[in-house]
Amino acid sequence: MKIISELAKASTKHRENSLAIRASILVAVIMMGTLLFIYSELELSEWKYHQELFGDYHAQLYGIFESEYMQLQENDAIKTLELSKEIRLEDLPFQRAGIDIYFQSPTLLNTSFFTEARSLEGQLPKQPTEILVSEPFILENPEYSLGSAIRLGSKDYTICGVYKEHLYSFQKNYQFFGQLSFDHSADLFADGGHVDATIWFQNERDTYRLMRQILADLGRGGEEELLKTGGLHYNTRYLEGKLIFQSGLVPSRDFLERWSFRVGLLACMAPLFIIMIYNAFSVWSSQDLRQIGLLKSSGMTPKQVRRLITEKALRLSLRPILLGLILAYGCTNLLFYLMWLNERASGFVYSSTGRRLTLVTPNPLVFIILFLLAVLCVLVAALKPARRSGKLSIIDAMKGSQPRGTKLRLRLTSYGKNITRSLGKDNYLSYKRTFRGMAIAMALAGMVFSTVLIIQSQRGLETLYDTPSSPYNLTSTFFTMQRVPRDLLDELKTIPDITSSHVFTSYDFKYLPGENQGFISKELQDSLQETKQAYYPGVTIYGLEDSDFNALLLQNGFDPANHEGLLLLNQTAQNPRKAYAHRSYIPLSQEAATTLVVQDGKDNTRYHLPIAGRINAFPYDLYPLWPDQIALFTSMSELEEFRLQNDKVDEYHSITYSIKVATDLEVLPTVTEAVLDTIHAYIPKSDTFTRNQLGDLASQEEQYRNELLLTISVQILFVIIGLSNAYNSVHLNLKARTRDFALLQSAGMTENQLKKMLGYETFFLIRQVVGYYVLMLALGVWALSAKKHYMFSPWQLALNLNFPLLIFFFAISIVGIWAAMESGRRKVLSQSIIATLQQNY
Amino acid sequence: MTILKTLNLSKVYPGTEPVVAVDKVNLMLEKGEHIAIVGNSGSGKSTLLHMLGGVDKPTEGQIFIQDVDVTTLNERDMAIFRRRNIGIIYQFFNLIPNLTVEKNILLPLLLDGRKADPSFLQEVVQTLGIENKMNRFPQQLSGGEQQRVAIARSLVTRPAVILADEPTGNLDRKNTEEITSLFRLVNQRFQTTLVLITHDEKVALSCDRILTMVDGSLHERRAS
Repeated sequence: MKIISELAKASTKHRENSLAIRASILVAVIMMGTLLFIYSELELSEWKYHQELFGDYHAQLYGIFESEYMQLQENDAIKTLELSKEIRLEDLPFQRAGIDIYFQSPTLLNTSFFTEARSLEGQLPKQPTEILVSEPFILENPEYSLGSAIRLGSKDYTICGVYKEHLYSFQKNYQFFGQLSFDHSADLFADGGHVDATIWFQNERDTYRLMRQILADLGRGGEEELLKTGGLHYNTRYLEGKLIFQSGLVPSRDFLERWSFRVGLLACMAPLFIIMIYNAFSVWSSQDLRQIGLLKSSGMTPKQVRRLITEKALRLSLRPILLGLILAYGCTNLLFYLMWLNERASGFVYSSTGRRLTLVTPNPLVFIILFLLAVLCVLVAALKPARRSGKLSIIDAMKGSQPRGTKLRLRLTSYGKNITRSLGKDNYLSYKRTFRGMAIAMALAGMVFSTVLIIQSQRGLETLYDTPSSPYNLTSTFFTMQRVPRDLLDELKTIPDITSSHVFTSYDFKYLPGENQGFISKELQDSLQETKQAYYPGVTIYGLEDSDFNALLLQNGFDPANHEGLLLLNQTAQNPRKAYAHRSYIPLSQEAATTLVVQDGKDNTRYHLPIAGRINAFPYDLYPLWPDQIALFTSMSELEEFRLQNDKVDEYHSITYSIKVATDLEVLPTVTEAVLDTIHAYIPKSDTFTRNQLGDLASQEEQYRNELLLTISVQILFVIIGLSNAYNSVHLNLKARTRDFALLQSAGMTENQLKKMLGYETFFLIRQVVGYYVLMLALGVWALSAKKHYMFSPWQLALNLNFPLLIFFFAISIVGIWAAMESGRRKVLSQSIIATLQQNY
Repeated sequence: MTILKTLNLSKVYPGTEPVVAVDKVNLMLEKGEHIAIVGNSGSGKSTLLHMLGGVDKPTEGQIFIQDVDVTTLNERDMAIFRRRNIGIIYQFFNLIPNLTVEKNILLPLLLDGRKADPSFLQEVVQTLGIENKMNRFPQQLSGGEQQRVAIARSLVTRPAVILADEPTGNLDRKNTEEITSLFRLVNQRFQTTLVLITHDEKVALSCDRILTMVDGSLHERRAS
């Protein structure tokens, strides 16, 4: 009906009345839009990146036979079937005698895997006679280069490209890539090698169901078993991006964890947005009420009134929403730019993200979703005012009074000496419901901001109390196929400025609960029952330097000369959910237990490990006490001997050595250099990894600055939201009471008294806001504490909040409310008493 | 022809001491009648008018307008009935400030989705002397002109009855006389039944019948 649209359009032309509403909508759209763009950038870009890197296939089946290949080819549900084949060539005349060649179809080769992750020089193989080689090959075999011819087995190739790859010195094989080409399937499966199938289904939504059917048809066994053993792989990241889950409609745990926080945050913001807009609409000016009364008395039905209000809301919101979309996009770019600047400020030491500065993806879907979400929020916010206006009594409306029994609470109160305080309290109580929406909106805004602070508080406490301290500030790890040269260990001890250093190795086993009845101590059993936790620890044997192990034995009253067996670290946390610093410890094993039955994951051999003694602390504080680990100790020589004698060392299961060094922070760079020089004299650089405390500190600092930046940005946004809401609510409320103030003045109230009265109203209002906020804060603190199984009590979390920021937020909000009251007061009192009382238009 | 009839119409406001605003009023109006209802402040005349216009619901009794019992209509049906059969004029704030004079006049028709009869519209605005003001906004009119527009709006649907609550209460003497004359003219020319609430004797005397409201009861007084 045109007249309703015209009425709606005409009533939004009054800029002053609608300014606060538009501002609220604009700020809210910027807030939600920024969040959505960040989600989109993180999620979609990551998904697209994954897709570019790995492709958009649905599943991969490894090690297929020719018969299986034929069956797959005939399967109509499969849209595309691509193959790859891996062959191993040995005894070749290169620095490393072996080469693993991965032949892939052009589709599989054509991902950005080589360009993004592995810096490709040259090009991917475009023909079956071209081959892509690794950088170590070129470096170690300088007679070859890009464009060279190379004979591999019985075939000749041309090197078309070189890609970056990391190889340990002891790895026997290079890794090359070529293009798969075959005339008949028999050729493909003929000369050995391992053929894998990459599958695209006609209907990707049926991926999991169809794959299970295929496995059943091929007689391949259970899906879960194959996934565990590596015989089957789903492109989970790609599929989840399209909301296709292995369990059907139920998302995976990873997906839920990734999205629960994001959706939760958005779900908190949407109601905030709705409340803000609702506040703006609900306090109707007296003129608007009378207009509705007049329209109803002229014959406007309640439905037409509701339509009018809703259309007015939509008209008011359209421009701010559109502007908000653009500003939200700009805001997101600004945020990422600031984070990029922060990263650059970290300097050479450590860069956690290596992010390039690019514009945030202007995802059209985000614009559409944000627009629709904003419109939906506006509609929901306008729902109650529209319904209320529809039900409005004509008489009340013509008098300009709010509907009976909704906004105004009438109470009998006694007045004390301070008349302005009494009147202020009366007004506050009468109009409490009017301000309730504003108070809730401000408290919610504060709450969303505080969520960041609460999480930071938890993190801060975890850093202080749940991060085990280590006396070492330099850790080096290297991999080798032989015993570590003892000269290396001796030379390490000669490096100056080192307070202490230790070298050790380790090997892991699997714990077998069924074969270790009577091993776990009673205290641990009781604790597991109480905390209702399952117990699946890993078993690690640590091989300490011989001298260190001997010293350990002597320390604990054992005779090194007569010692046989392993030392068991016989301590475990009674409640691992407690912060590390607050944990108490109980015995891990029963005193009577003399062996521990374990299984080697490499060859599934079972061992009965003899326990010769028990210790109560991790030797030399090399590691903290992990609750899910059973640690045993022996000498380095013993462990090396065990592994070498029992064939437990190969290029895929090398011996890992760790060096832990403690030194002063000032000399850490020089000590780091000295340690590396010493190691590299014996161990190739490719086999060594080192990190020191300085790098960790720089990374933490960068993270801290990012968080601070984010917190302050969020704080600014929410302060604006809260204040715009306050301004709007307060102004509209005061405007609706213009006549009341004129009457008070005509009865003899001075301007100063009026000011004081409003001051008291402001005070009670602020008290209401603070009350709501404290309640929400308490709930938020309790919720996080409960989520973390009370690692820290709610009280501890609360005390560790960033109070300066919180107080600053409050101060700004309080000043804002006061300023809104002040400006509102000045506005309503600018008109003369007579003009106000006689006011028509 | 009886255009409006009430049967034992009453309005009682509940409370610690119930207030009887209208007490068993029986009123009958013929088509084309021009009546005034006078009474002191608080006598219940505005309440009676609001009930007649369907703006307020009676506690007891019935109201028939063109043989339709309007007390049985729900809010939506009452709104539709009102826009087609009843015109209401108030003391002030009669016009929508954002609409032109023309649209203010046509408001009931526009809400009904109907088009105006151009010749009838022309006749109405000419009778009321506002044909040159059609594209103006209410703020650009004087008080008297605004009331003329309100009268025009109340006429445009050819209603069964026009109810006016203190229509001259906000006007000066000159405008009061003009508006009073216009009411007479409208009544004669369009044969519209008019009910005026007023406390102005002169305005009351311009009507065919004067009814007096005393403590919620309606009494007849002949105009001299």
